Amino acid sequence: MKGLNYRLNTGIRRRWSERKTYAGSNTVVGIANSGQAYLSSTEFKNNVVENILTFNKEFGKHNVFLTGVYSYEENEQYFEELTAINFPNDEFTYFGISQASSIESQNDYQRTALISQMLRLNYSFNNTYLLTLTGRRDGFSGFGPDNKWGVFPSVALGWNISREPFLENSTTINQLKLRLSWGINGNQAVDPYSSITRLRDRNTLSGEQSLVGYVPSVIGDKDLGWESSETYNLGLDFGLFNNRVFGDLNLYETNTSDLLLNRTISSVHGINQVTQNIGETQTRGLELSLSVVPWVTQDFNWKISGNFATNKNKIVSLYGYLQEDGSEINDLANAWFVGEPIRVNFDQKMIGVWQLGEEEEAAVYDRVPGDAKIEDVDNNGVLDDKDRQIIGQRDPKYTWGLSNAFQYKNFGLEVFFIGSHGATRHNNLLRDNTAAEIRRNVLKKNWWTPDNPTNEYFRNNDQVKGGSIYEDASFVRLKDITVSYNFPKKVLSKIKLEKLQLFASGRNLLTITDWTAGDPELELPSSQAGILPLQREITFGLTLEF
Amino acid sequence: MKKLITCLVSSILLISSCSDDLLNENPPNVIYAENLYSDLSGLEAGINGLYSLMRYEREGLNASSSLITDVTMSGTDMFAANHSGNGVSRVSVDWTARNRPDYDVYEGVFLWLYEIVNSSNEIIKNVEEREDIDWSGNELSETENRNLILAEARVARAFAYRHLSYLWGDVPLNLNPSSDGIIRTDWERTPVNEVRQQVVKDLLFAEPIIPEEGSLTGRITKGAVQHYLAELYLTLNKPDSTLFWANKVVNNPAYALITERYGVQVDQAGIAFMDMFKAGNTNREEGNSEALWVFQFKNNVLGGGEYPIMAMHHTSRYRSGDLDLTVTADRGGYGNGRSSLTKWALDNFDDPNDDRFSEYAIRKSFTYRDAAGNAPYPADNLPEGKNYGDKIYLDWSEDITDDHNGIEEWPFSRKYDWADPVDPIGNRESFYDQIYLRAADTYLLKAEAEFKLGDVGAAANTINILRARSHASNITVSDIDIDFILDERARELMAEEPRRYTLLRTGKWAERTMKYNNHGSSTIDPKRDILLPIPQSVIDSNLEKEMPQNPGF
Repeated sequence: MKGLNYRLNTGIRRRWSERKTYAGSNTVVGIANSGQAYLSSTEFKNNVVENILTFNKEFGKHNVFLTGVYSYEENEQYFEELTAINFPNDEFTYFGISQASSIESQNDYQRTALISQMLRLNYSFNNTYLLTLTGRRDGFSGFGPDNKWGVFPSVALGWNISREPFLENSTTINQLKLRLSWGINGNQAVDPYSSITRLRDRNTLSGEQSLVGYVPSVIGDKDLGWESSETYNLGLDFGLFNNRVFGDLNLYETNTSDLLLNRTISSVHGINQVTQNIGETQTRGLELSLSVVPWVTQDFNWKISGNFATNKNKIVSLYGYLQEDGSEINDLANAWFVGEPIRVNFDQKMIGVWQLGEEEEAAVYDRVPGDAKIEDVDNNGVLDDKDRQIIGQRDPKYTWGLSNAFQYKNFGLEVFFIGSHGATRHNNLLRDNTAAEIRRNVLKKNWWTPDNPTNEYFRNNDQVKGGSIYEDASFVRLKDITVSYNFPKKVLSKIKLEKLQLFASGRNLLTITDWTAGDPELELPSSQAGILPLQREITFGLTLEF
Repeated sequence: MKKLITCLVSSILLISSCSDDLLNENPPNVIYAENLYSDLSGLEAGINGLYSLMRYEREGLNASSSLITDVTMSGTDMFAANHSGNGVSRVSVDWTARNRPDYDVYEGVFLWLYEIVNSSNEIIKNVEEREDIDWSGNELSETENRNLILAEARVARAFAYRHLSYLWGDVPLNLNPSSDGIIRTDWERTPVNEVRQQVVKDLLFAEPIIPEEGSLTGRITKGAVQHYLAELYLTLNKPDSTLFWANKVVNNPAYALITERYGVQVDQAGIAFMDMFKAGNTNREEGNSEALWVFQFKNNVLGGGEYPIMAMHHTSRYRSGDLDLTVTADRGGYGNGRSSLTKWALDNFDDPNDDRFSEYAIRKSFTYRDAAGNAPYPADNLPEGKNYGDKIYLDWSEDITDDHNGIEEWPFSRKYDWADPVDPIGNRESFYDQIYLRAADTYLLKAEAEFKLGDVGAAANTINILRARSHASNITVSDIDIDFILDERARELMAEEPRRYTLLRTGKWAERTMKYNNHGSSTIDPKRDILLPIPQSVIDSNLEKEMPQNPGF
């Protein structure tokens, strides 16, 4: 039958990785353990089978395109490792493992499977009116027995306005397309076996005899299932003034329900975390990308392209437990608050430093001048858990990128900035534990002293009562800049080269930010150790083409 | 593969029944409760897990930084913080600032104890409700097997609730396993006496079943169960019941006090009292009849333990500072001295001939030694003007205080002297079997009960049995009062008893700590600090019902 097409895609991927190391007596680890060998092997298996059936038919101005997909994807991972210590000598490195007096081994296995069934209809009339209907059904192994399958429909409408007769010959509007869509998406981002209640090793000993032991370690939620997001999207693609201005704009609202989250639960369960489908969130956002060519002449060319994204997300509902006034109970243990963004900081807020002359007031909180002044939210003269408050959201409110490219004769200049605004984060590197740990690098601080009555940082003393410091992690960064020179064709033809370009480029050369703990583009880990900032790179280069 | 093809073919024909097979999870490496607890060996593995968890008390909560058992020992009349590093003892430096609901060690200890509760509940429920368990195995009858598993699990639950009740007072009494997947957000704190009644119930159930010698080396003995009953009845103010249970231990020749030298160091100079603490002597099988419960540790073997750091926390830092001595086994191994004896604990000995105050029991001096003297460890570095053979006497005349701490030259109990024979500095943990409970403690419970019952003469006699063993002079009836009994406990059970519990039981914690501990005890609020604050996450996660915090926090 004409227009009918069947395709079978299959893929088998295997990846092996092996590690064999030996730490001898010339290493710290080796000395401490009289030699340590570590052997590990990992095998990844990935199998994919996709059956794709398509049918395409045109009836006059009508075009119909049907797609049916049935696919299966399986991922398996095998892991084995062996650590041996106490070697009689370093002679045989890890080949001497049989002589090591202590050998410990571990292994692990994981498997996930995903089955997808999909039917899609694309219909267009005169390439002007477009309709897409999709229905899909996915099954994922990681969910509970009765919730493995999810059904996800979507509808999309498009109107190519620029193909309408009244715009067909317009030089002002070259392209204009309106898009409208509604759909539900599924998310299965959980570890396998999350729905299974299980145990972990907890071994012990009796005299010389090792005894294998197990204790419960995971509370599996049998009802674990798909997280689903319902999205409305309104989009506009446009090209104006001979495509000197072009871009697209999207407005969307996503309502996500049954979010797959690791939730902190009461330790009274004996386990303090569980993976569950929780609550409902709403995200509204706008995304714009725009390119403009403001200047084009024979010798000079300037192109600006940029993108901008902003969204507002909030928790709509959590577990449905209501307070007496009918509003929902917030989850303080996880710092989830109805009506607030999903990721917020929740802590006592430092609002300054107690100064000389404020002794009496400070004494109420058992503090002295030089200690951190913490906001007493309920104004009861005691600093406790009731004085914690939301201190900003952890994700940026908006982000953008802006690139300017200039070309003058054979010289080129490209400048690319990025920006991120509105995130507040805890500054780990401003916290130090002078009493216990002086071995780690932390930031230089503007310590309070009687002569330096700052409100920025408390006194330098191991009896100090401090506070956590949160900072605005907004930044603007010169991400890339490139200067280039292309040798003229005239010269090149003589030496029989197609292209010869000299360039110099720099990355991360400039960052403007109030954030003091390292690189604002990276999120700090919770540990104090800090992480490496993105490096500043300068590259000089030569491009040759024959 | 054949299955896959069949499935694909059938799925194309839109029959999707077999796809469910592909989505089923049957991980071959994952242990489930239903499978594990279906026969005796699986339940035994569950009991092993419980013993591993209980043993954790003498290990570090966060690797080597926080010795869990310090929650029961530090910040008392006997132990003061003597090091600026992390660890539970730091709380006692400033109770107001550090005894806080968001202290992560409290979160960890609370979770650890409820992990024991949950693991026990899981076993108990399976044993009580399942009909399909295969009870065959070993030489016991099926009923005996069943009872023993149940008794061991209930003892572990009692162990956890005993700790929880002393540390936090009213705590949620949870007797159901969490494996049903029901997440509760409306826990209620059960009055502490009800919690203790459950502990009594569990212990009374186990007492007739747990064997005199314990079901395995390192497992709890009948004597220990009787001891905990005796202790609990004192707390519940029923001294006659205490007397009844304490006598079961004291009068049992199987639990005789160690009065003669024995074991591994018998041909070296020493005292009978200290022999039972030596590696190789601690277990009952090794001759330690006094032991009621001995925790098992062994380096680099499966189940040998992770961070047994009892010694590291309490042994002084003689390896650094002015002393700068070589770390050896007989000096106590690698010490961090995070929590040290108070001056009072050292001055508390009322008889200079008391073995428990001898150099064999408490390290009060060092001798510079050459390589032969330190063998197999290297020689000491000699400071200028010193010779091998010179003695250094440790000076405790000035107590550990807010302004005088971090002292390396400080005496310490030698009950945990041990060092890794190969690498005493690299391997700082103490991997040998350690006494957790012994009958001398029961004698002192007995004396306390006798005193409370008004039989002061009997109390003096009971105490004199312990004193005689250590060659301390007899005391008379006029010496006895509750403080004297507490003093005697301090002499006998130094670095062994959960001192905080003892002092709380007798209503003496704040008074004696403020009197005898000079480091941070002025910050104690006697009403507030007798309980620990409920961890913040436990309060925060109790969404549907407000969980009241302990008063004052």
